[in-house]
Amino acid sequence: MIKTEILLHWGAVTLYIVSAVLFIYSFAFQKPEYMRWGTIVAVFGLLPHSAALALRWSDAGHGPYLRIYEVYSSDAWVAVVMFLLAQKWRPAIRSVGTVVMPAAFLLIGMAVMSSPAIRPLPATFRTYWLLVHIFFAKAAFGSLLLATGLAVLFLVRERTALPAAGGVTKRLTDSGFFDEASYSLTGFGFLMLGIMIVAGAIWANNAWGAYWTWDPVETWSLISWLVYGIYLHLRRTRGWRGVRAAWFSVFALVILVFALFGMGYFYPSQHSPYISD
Amino acid sequence: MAKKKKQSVTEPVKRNDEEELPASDGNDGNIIGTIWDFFSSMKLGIILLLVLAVVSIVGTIYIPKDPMTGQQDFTRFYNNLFFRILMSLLAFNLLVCSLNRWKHIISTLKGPKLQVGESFLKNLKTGAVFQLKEDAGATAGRLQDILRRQGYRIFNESREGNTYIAADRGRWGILGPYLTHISFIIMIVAIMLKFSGLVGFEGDLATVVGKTHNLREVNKLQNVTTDEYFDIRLDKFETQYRPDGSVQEWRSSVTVIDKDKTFPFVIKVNHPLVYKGIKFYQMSYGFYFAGKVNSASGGAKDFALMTNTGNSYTDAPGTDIIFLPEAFNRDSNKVALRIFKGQQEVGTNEAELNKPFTYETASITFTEATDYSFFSVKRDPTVPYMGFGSGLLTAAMIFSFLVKHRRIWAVVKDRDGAAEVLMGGLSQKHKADFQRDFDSIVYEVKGEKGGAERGLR
Repeated sequence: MIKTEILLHWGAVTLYIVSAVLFIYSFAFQKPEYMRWGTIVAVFGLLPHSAALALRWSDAGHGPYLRIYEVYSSDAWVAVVMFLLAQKWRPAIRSVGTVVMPAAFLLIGMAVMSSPAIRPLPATFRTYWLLVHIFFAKAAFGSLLLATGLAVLFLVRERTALPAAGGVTKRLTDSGFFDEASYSLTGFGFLMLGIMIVAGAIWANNAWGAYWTWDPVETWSLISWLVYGIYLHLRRTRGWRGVRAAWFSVFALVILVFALFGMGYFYPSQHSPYISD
Repeated sequence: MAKKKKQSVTEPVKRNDEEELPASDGNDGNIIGTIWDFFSSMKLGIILLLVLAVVSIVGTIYIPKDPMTGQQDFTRFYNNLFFRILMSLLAFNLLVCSLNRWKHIISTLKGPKLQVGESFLKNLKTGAVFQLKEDAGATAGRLQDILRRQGYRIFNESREGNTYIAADRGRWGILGPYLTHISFIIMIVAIMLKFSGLVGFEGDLATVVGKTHNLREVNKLQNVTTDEYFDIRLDKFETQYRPDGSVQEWRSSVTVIDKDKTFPFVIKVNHPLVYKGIKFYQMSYGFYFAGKVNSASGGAKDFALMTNTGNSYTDAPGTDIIFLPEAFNRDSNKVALRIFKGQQEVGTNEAELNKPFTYETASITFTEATDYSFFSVKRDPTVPYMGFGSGLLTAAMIFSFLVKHRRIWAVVKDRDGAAEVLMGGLSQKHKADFQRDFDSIVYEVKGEKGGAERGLR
């Protein structure tokens, strides 16, 4: 079964790479029609990806949230699904595939390069609060990746002064849509991150009798939340927007990525079964 | 077509659609007023959040050690005075900002002011100016009908032949950020109280199967009166395994004995015993051994040992021989034993229960071998406050995200039988959506079809 999973994962990696190339080509050379193809290929990539994760869930007997293989792959899945939903909701968001699809294939690529062995669910993980905690962590990552993706596109447009190409992209450049959509998605991500921290605190209180222990991953999640809180305050009360806000968004995502993926490499943590290979 | 003032999004500029913060009343050199103004600064709040984030990062890089155990202790850094002062400053800043903002909140809830200048309207990023060849009264009436239909609350006034309209929607949304800050204050106070040591305690208790332990035996017990003491007896400890051999569950079957009241309970992971506000959490387990150890030269002594703890071995009196029992096999009734001379391991062996085992000049007899269960024992009166604070935080953030506060102003002037309309609107969030809806309203007032479709979507 693990062999089938890995083959399906590699299928998804391949299609995500194709999708990413189409998006980058479309954005760089101002050919909006290729974005549509990039989106279609992303949808086709999602099929083997979903099948791989479903197989994994069935084999492991628990959700895909233990060890790098499961965590990175399911994070990539959530990011792609959120991207596809967001571009359906607001077609103008479609350009952000230029950032999301490369990120997705990197994540899923790292997943398939790590150990796929099944890790049994630790006793402390047997609680519904864990599912709430993980669901919101992934939703936070997905929405904040989209937000920063839009900020990056905004920066690229500002720096390169690419001419508007008509269709979807013309709308974006004219209205500062990237900037505003990035702000809205950051607000959503901030909410998701906040609920993730609260759900984690409830779980910790039930499992260990301590809602807050300053565990390194816990602390870095709080730091990420504070940084996004600063971003929202700067935008709302200090008039930050455009280039400064976009750079801040990139900085905030670096902090979040370190909190979610990097901490496991540096410190032992209560989250070790989740983030280690 | 609605007028859209083009403005660069590259540079931060102060515009009418930015947050309207209550202005300081001025303190006229009053020291209390100066301090109040200092703490009511939003800039200070942002700086404190930034410092808190940086200091929190430092706490994950520089990790102090517990002087008793020598182990790294993440909590020690965050319990220092500097961190507490920082948290206090942030809580005070939030409190002062919240108090300062209260008047503004009440005023906003009452409704938008009708008396806004035309220059204010013209400076709004979302605005429109147009003329219609119809009676100004009919135009004003239609505009109000459209706004009302879209859920706006209407205020109007007619002066010198002009109609002034102010409308708002989702006014309760402004409570979202406000309540978020209040919940943050509650949580900071709860956390500071928790780590102050003034309330509750965090201790532990090792319980041996068949033995009764009193609450007073709990390590680091404090803030508990002797009237609250009770006994707990560990009846059985078991480990349940999955078919693949991995651990599924640890179960400690205990009996709580409190004067005349006695009841059984099974403590499991995620399923603590809660009695008199004191919680017992399953933390670890191991083997308990008791017996006697002696040597030809040093005499004899009793021992009681627990595996996986600092008290897991015994030396033979007067020698450098150390016995370290590791496990107990119930089928063979034997204790697996490691033997050391000084730091050097010299062998492993098995000792039968109640029979002496001899190594060189030392002898050890195990009279008791059973399981022990290790509980983390806590009382934390701040949990309900933390729960309330985090519940309020979550609700306030959801509310803040979903409920959009929007305001629209309009002046409808009579120009020789025709109507001249000056409109403007404000929304703190989802500005693209607001612009689209505003355009749709303008199209509808002008009697043009497809307002929504011609918006910004």
